[in-house]
Amino acid sequence: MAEMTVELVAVERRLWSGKASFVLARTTEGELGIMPGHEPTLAQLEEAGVVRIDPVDGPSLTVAVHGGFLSIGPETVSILAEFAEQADEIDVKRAQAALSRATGDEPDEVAARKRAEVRLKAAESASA
Amino acid sequence: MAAQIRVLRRRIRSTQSIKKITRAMELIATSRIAKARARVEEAKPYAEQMTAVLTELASNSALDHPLLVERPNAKRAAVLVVTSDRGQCGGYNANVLKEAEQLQSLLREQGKEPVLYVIGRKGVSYYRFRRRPVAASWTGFSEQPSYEDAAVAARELVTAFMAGQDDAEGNADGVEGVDELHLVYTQFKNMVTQLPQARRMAPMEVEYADEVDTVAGEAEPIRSDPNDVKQLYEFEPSADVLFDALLPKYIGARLFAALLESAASESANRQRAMKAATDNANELIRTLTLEANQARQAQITQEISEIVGGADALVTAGSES
Repeated sequence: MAEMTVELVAVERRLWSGKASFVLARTTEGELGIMPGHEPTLAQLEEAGVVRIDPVDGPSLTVAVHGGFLSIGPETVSILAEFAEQADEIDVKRAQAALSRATGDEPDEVAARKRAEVRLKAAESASA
Repeated sequence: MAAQIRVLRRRIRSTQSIKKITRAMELIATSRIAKARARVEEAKPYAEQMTAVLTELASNSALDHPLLVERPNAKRAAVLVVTSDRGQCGGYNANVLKEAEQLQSLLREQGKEPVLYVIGRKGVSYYRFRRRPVAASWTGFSEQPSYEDAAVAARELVTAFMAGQDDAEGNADGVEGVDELHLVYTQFKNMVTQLPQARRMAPMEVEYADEVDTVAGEAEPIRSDPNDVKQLYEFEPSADVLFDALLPKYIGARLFAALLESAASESANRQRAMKAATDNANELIRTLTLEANQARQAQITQEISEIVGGADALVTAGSES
C-alpha cells in the first residue's frame, strides 16, 4: 500500500509524525482528501477545523487544528498549526463549558466559541 | 560579652534560613532551565516547517507585502523589550534594558522615534520609575511563556505596524502606527553565556531555506538539481492570500521562540545568582561561627580569670587577718 510521511506540528511541540495512507482536511476553499502521490499543494486550513489522519498501521487519528496550514510535498504532508489537540486529549466537559460561556459577539468570544465547537466535533467524530 | 555572643548566634541563624531560601531557588531554577531548553527544542520543528513553506511561497508570489517592504522614511520604531517578572536573577534585566537603551539611542540617531512595548514586570517598573511612556505591556508569563502569550503581543505589534503604513501619506486611518518592529531579548547560548540581542522583526528578511545556493551550491538542501526546477505548487487560496495569512504567524512564531530563549536565560541567570548567594551565605556562616566561638572562648577565659582573681583575693585577705 502506498504511504506518505505525515507530520503534524504545533507551535509548542511536534504532535505526531509517521507514515499514513490518507489525510482529510478542510481548507478555506473546501474539503481536501490527500492520498499518496497528491500534487504538491500549499493550503490554508479553516481557522478552526478537524483533520483526520489514517496511519498505515493503527486506528485513524482525529485532531482539532486551529489556525493551520497544510503543505503537501512529493512524499510528505506537513500540517502546521498554532494549536492542535488530538481528539483523545480533548476534555469534552471543558470544551462544553467554554462553549456555553462564549455567547457574545466580541471577536474573542466568537473565536473561543469556534475553538470549543471544533474540539467537540473532533471528540465526537473520534468516538463515533 | 554574653550579649555579643547572642547577637552573633542570631545572625548565624538568620543567615542559615536565608541560605535555605536561596538554595531552594537555585534548585528550582536549575530544573526550570532544563524544561525551558526542552521547550525551545520542541518549538523548532514548527519554525523549520514555517521557513520551508515561506520559502516556497516567496518564489511564487509578489514580494510586496507591507511586512516585507522597507518604508522610505520611517519615523516611529516599536521596541519590544523582553524582561523577567521577578528579580533575584543577577544582571539579566539590567543587561536587556541596557541593550534596549542602546538600540533606542541608535534609532534616535537615525531620526526615528522609539515606541516602547514591554514584556515582564521588571521592565515595566524600570520605565515607570523613569516616567517613560510605554505603549503596551504584558506581564505574568516570563518564566513559562505559552504561544498564546506570544500571539497576543504579536497581534498588537503587527496591528500597530500595519497602521503605520499610511502615516506618511496623511494618516488616513487616524491611528498612529509604527514603521519598524524591533525586539530585544536574551539569547541562550549555553549554561554560562546568555547574550542580550536586538533584532529587527519587521520589515523582515525571510530566512530563505535555500539562501545558501548563491553562496555554496553544495550546501543547498535537497532541491539542488537545476533540472528539477522549483516544485510546482498548487495554492489554496492564492499564493498572495496565503502569504498575507502566514507572515503575521511567522512573526508570532519568532516572538514565541524569543520568549522561550529569554525564559531559559532568565532561569540560567537566576540559578547562577542564587548559587553565588548560597556560597556567600556559607562563607558568612563560617566567619560568624568563628567569631562566635572566639567570643565564647574569651568569655570563658575571662570568667576563669575572674574566679582565680577572686580566690586569690580571698586567700590574701585570709592570711592577713
